[in-house]
Amino acid sequence: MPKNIGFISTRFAGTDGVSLESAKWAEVLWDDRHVSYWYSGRSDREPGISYVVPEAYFGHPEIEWINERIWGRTSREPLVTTRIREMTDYLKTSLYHFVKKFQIDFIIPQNVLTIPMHLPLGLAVTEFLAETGMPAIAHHHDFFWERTRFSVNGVGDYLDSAFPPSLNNIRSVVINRPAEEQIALRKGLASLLIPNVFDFDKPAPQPDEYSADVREEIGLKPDDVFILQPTRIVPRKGIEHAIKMVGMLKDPRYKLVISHDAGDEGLDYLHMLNELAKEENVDVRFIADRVSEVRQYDSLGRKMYTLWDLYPHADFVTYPSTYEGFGNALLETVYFRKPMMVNRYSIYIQDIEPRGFRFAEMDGIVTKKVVAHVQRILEDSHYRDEMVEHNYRVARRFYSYTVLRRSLRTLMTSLTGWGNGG
Amino acid sequence: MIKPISQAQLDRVRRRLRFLYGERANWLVDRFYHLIGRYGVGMEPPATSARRWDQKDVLLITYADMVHTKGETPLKTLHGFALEHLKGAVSTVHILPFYPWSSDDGFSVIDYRQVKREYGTWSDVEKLGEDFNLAFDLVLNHCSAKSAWFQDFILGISPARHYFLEMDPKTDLSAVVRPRTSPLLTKTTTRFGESHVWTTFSADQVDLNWQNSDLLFEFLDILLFYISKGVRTLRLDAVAFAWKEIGTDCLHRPQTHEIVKLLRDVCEIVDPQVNILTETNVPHAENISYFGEGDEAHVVYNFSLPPLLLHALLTDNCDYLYDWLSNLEYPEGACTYLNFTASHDGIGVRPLQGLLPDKEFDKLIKAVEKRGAHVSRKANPDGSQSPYELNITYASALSEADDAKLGTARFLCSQYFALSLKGIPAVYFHSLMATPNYDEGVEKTGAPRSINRRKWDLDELEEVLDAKKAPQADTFRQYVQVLRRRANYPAFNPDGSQELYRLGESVLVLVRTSTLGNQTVYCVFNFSSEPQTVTRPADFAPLKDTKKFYDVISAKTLSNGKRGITLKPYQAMWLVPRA
Repeated sequence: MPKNIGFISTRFAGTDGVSLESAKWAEVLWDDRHVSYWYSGRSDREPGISYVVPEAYFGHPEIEWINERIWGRTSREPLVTTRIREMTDYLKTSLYHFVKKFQIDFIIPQNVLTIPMHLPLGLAVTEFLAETGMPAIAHHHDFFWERTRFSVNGVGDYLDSAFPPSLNNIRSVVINRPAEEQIALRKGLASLLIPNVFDFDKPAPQPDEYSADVREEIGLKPDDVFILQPTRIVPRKGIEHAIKMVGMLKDPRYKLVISHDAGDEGLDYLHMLNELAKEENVDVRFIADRVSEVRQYDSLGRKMYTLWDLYPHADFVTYPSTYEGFGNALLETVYFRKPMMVNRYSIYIQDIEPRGFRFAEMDGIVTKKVVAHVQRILEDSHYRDEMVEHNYRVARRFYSYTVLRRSLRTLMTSLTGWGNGG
Repeated sequence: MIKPISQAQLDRVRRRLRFLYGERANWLVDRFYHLIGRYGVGMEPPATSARRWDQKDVLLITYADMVHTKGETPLKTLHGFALEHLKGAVSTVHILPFYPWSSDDGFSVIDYRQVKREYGTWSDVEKLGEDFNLAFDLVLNHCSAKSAWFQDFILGISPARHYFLEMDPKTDLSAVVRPRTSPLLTKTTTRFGESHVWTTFSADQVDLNWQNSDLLFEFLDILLFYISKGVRTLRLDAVAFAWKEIGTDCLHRPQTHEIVKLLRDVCEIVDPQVNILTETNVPHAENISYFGEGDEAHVVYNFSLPPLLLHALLTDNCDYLYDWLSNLEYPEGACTYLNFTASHDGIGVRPLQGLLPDKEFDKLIKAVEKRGAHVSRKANPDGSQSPYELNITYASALSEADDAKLGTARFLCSQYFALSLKGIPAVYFHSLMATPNYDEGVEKTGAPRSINRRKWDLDELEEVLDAKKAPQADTFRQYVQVLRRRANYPAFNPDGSQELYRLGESVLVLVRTSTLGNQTVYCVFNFSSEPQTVTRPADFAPLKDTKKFYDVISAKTLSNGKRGITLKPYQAMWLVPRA
């Protein structure tokens, strides 16, 4: 019997991993006629199925006020506790409203019981679930112990109780094996591993009229080789390795194009990359001002493209991250049947590599061997085609909606006894 | 839950929310209840309030970067300048919008919660607040098209996707009153296609949709944030336009008044010391409607004063000023006027409606044009245009081409008159400096308002102010001195009483008496270019029994002998009877 599912997050907007994966889950649940409703502080979902509580966004000024007073220090002031409690009560009330309004049967907290970007929301969801006993699948993307910025804090008591909580009506889903181990070790909680997925049964979109001119609009000549770094400019993305690699290819036709902007974690890294590009004589294009979450025109009347408008035009993708929770860009690259250089980050080694993908792999440093492999991929079209087709087949087997559907059905049945379709 | 809200306060808030948002009120009250205490504001019950204001209260209206010097943030430079030159003369610094902005010299706000990096930091603002009271703008009618809110609107991200007013361009909006000739609707491309958004002032200043309760709460949050940063006077910019209702003129809607009342209620709950100042540059009766029943603005700009005073001094005819002042009703309770002659905007002439005959109005326009004014015009419903605002510095508006001394006397007379009136004086930075028209600025920006928006290099300004026997420096010295002296006279308490007398054609007398009735100052003004003598006791009964007076302005003692008291052209005196 179809159920009403309530997704909960601080935001459902844009192309962050949580927003994207949540939409995929909803799509798969919809196949079983379950209807999804969205509770968040920011939302680009349809207003008719959204419940937006501005205070639920981690960037809400009150939450920023709280965050400034709980992280990087080992105790908290009574006023801060009071404000946390106030906000928790308020959000909990709004959760009751949400559930009542849409007759929600089942809750899927998306990362809100995992990373304490919004402490009161985590507490509110925990209390709500404890009070109502409503079945829930907590989808965990990043735990607080995975981020150093949360390691010194004055809210250990709250983290212990709610990130994640231990309640009979909650099942935990993690996206990688180390997380599965850590949640068991630290919290004594069993979890199910559901990796990030893609709809590999549906082929990737091709350039259309709107995006046909991407290459020329970003200033590439017909002979240029478009090497895409599809990430934000933050240190853990290891972009210096991409520059190094392109430099070692020693061919002016190779252009490294970085799609997103810097600034989230300061501009030092961007400056460093610029310096390095000069030293290595690499032509790096920063095109964040032409990339948007949706297709639109900027104030100069220029077209803005989505990341999905860029992928089909790319000749090669670099992904030299030093750490990723899973690595959505990796699946996207495979989905668009593009070749890729990847750094062997820990989750990649444990979860993804064993599936048998074929990439140009680097192990912390760009060696001549790596560059030679990239060169072969770029120059040998037969080798390249075989490689991307192989990767697509692997991904379809392990990271498709079918995998997700199977796991979600199992979870829901185990929690509620509803069973398939009834 | 936070303690200090009484049931009565909460009920009042609930009534207002119901009036504005109907059935959603109960939920919004809950949300409101949780808001109180945000940023630590209103956590404790308010202390018993002292008097809201006294004779020491004088506002300085200034841009954050009015004075700048190398190696220092302009806010810090402003602080240093004010501390050195203005301590004791002004009590409050009204920093015009110092948030990141994209046009209109600050009134197109990109982020209400940040200090524009080029100006300084919140710490600079808070430090200024240690030496002066602070006044900030709450620009609530519109925000920048470059704001994150408007970007969310374009991308369809809630809650801000509902913060703006989308209109079908075919809608009949002919009844809408506005002070601009630019299109009311601006075409924008959004994620969902083409959209037309309401833009009262300019395409870059997109009107906000107050019918959306999330927007109200956004602003309540900003209000509490500003209070946590030390604001004491909150200026509600262009508030009259806030609530739009198709089919009406969209001006002064009852809901707009209710919003002001609600903001005042919130201030009373969290910090009763905070004053609400409404900015509504409209005809007098409409302007003062923002006093409500003593439950809206604490302070309202006295918008008719600048142009009427200008007219009186440029025509040597104070009839209309006298008539207006004789009929001016003063609000009761904790409400008063903000008496000013100039601000960062031009001199609005719409408030003259009904106060000045057309012939006199034309005379005024000609007189200021002769002195270099730009006259901004507004579109009328019949397609014609009429003067809306005079763009000129107040000092230049009263200048005399061939007689600098006379011009200075006339200008100071205007300033002292404004300082004498019942209410709180507000002095624009360029009035204090008697800055002449900044024509280069107009040339540079193409905006007529730049004429009165010069920014000073600190060294350059100090040089101007230090100059010996220079009219600008003399004016500044005298002005500041008089401000400091005024602060010692409780007769100038905004709540003190005021009587008005007219002696002959050109002499006005304001009798100001302290709230306790124990001090009276006779403020005498000569509005003509000829000397005037107050001779016979019949001229002015209150003065007849007093033989000697102390003139606060000149710091001289005068005798009321047979020849009476003679005022030079445009002289002002503040006479305190001597035993």
